[in-house]
Amino acid sequence: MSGKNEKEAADNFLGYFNETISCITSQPLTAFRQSKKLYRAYLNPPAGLQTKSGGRLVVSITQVFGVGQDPSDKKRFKVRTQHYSYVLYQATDEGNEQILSYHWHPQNSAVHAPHLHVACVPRVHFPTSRVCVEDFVWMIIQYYGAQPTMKKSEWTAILEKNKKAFEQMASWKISPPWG
Amino acid sequence: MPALKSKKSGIVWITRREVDALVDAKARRLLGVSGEKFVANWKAGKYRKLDSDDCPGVIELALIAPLPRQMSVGKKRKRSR
Repeated sequence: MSGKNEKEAADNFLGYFNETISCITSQPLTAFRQSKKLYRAYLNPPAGLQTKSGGRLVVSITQVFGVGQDPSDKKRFKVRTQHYSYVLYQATDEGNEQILSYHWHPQNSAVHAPHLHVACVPRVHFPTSRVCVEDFVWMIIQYYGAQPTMKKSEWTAILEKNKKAFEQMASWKISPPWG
Repeated sequence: MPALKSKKSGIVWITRREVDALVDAKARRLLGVSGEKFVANWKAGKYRKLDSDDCPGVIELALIAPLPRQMSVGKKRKRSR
């Protein structure tokens, strides 16, 4: 997920990210280049999903990332996630009811570490390690019955490939080095 | 300028004007303030204690909004413990 310049690194990262999300929705990712080194990507609007049992879910996925010099290769550039939010809702006739959300937003809250909100247990920030979007997508399919957009062999291959890339490239997994 | 869909990656790139409109609509719906006011309030720390349990969607709004980056990539902070 590195690149020879900032834009190429961002494009490579967004390619992986969009491919992962394509396992559950055909809705493309929306991205905004705030500066040469700061990008914001999200599902806009949050994507509606059908479950195998006929239910309706909604997912909101938001990722903020910076691009900087790759510490392991000064000639290349690398993406670093700065914030993420992965939210799952139950869609009802009255609106969307939040089920859970995985958050890491160290600059926007008193809680700097990655955490999980569970709607039925309000006010608790359950500590987590860093959660990758591949695990969130896998959970939605596996446990909430979301209908994938492709064959099982295809979505599992994408999620495995992209999670492997995340594991290889992520600069931290449990708590951020500056946390 | 309308959103452009990149043929290469399938990403829809939006402009600053489109982001501002999106933030304005969400801020009015969630908090009853304009997008401009939301950003000003956020910079002033007025929502520092507001969390998703108090106002579902507010964290996502803050992540979408073009707020300035407060820390450079990879810059280390001192650990509190």
